[in-house]
Amino acid sequence: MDESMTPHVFLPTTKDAFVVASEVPACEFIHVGKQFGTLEVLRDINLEVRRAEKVALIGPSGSGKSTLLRTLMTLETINAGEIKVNGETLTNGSWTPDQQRSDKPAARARRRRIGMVFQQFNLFPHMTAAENVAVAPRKVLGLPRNEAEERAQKYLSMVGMSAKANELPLRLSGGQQQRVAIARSLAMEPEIMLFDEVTSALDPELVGEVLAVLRKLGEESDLTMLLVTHQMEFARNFADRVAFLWQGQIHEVAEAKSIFDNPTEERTRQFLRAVLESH
Amino acid sequence: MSEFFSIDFAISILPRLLYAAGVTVQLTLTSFAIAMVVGLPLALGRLSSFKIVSSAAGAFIEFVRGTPMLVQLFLVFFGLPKLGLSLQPVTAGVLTLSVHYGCYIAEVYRGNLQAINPTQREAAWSLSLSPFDTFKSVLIPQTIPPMIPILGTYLIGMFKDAALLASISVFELLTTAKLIGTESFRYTEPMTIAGLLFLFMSLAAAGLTRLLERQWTNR
Ligand SMILES: Nc1ncnc2c1ncn2[C@@H]1O[C@H](COP(=O)(O)OP(=O)(O)OP(=O)(O)O)[C@@H](O)[C@H]1O
Ligand SMILES: [Mg+2]
Repeated sequence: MDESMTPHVFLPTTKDAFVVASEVPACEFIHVGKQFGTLEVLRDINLEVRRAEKVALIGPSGSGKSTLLRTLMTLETINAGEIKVNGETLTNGSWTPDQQRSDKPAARARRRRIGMVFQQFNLFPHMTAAENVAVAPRKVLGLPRNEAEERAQKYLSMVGMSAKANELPLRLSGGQQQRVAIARSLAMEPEIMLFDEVTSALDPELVGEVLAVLRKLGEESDLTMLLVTHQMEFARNFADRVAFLWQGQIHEVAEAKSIFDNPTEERTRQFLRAVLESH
Repeated sequence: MSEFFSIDFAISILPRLLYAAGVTVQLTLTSFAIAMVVGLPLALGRLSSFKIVSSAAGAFIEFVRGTPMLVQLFLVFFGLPKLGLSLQPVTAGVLTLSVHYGCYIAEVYRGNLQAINPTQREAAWSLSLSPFDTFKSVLIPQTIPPMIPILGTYLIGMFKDAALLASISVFELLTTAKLIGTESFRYTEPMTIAGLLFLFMSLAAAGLTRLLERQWTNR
């Protein structure tokens, strides 16, 4: 990739400041189950993610990767188990759907620790790039207009999009839109970021610029990151751990290098072989 | 005095008709603004997940859209006093016009709200935007621009429907033209002028619509 295309990311790092408090996992899935009607989409999911850890979710289509991320974003309710963030209960399968999707301030405050970036960017089409980034800091955090704008500039420059701050999404390439979407989530300064196939909708030549932003975020921030990806090469180099999902279950979870080089489960091996052959 | 169209007479009645046209413009614009506001809760009511609310809103909207406005006008002006609520003709007229068109506008709101990709709500949710802010800053701004052409059509329709208020003796344009006719036994001039004024108002509304449309698409 051309060096000039690389967005400059300079998130402050607080990695060194970590001490014992970081023993509390950033998030935990505890026996989480999810059904759509009679279809069981997640089954007894157990996963602990440390602070600043990068976990990649891989697996065949329909295995429940997106649903897993979406339950953590509370976009989907769960039917069983519990999800904790920073040791606090985010949602519980025994709560009613209304309780799980509560819009009370306390529930929204818990959710605020988490940000999500989608495959289709989902930018607000009637707002400029800067407005997209500033809207939540203004409305949710109550920042005054000028501070929210400054914050928008800060995060847009972090993803290399300062020059297009006043453009509407329509005028931006897919890769640029996705970088704005990342800035929009970062501007809420979450602790956990979720990325659901964020490069899958992009033309091949635009994938690199978005992955470069993710890499910089990984290196220069202490964000906890969960990402669904079909880019095995990226998952291998970027993630600390990789979880292989199969039929709604975490079939195997291991250090990135070891799962790719030495998958212990037969299904993982089959999946990886199939993916590598198709590339 | 037997000529078909007397220019002198036309000029002499022009000020009265222009004044009445002004009343029509005021009535229409006021009612239109109220209709835009009234349409929103009706649309939300119809979209509500509470069955009673959505059925009630739906029934009301269908009733209003399915009956002639003149009937509604008489119900409001002659019927409400029986329930102890007497309204001035102008108030009754504005109320009827705005609720009648509010129901049409509600359906447009509803259609456009439903047409917004649900992923927009998901994006707003994942930014922790409150339901109110999601609605106000994300959804509503996306429903208005595609509505502009339809709203323009309704505005033009409203100018013409404002003439129905003549039947409860609101002194708008058509009432005045008819009155001049009965006073002078000359109908050609006042009706021609009134027609031209209505046409002028419609063209102005259409022009305004196109202007707004361009404004939004150029943004
Ligand atoms: N809203 C929904 N209603 C019903 N079924 C759903 C819904 N969302 C997902 N599913 C089903 O749940 C299963 C898991 O879907 P999910 O999107 O999580 O898979 P995925 O691993 O992300 O797949 P892909 O790689 O294709 O994105 C699939 O069988 C899907 O059809
Ligand atoms: Mg998916």
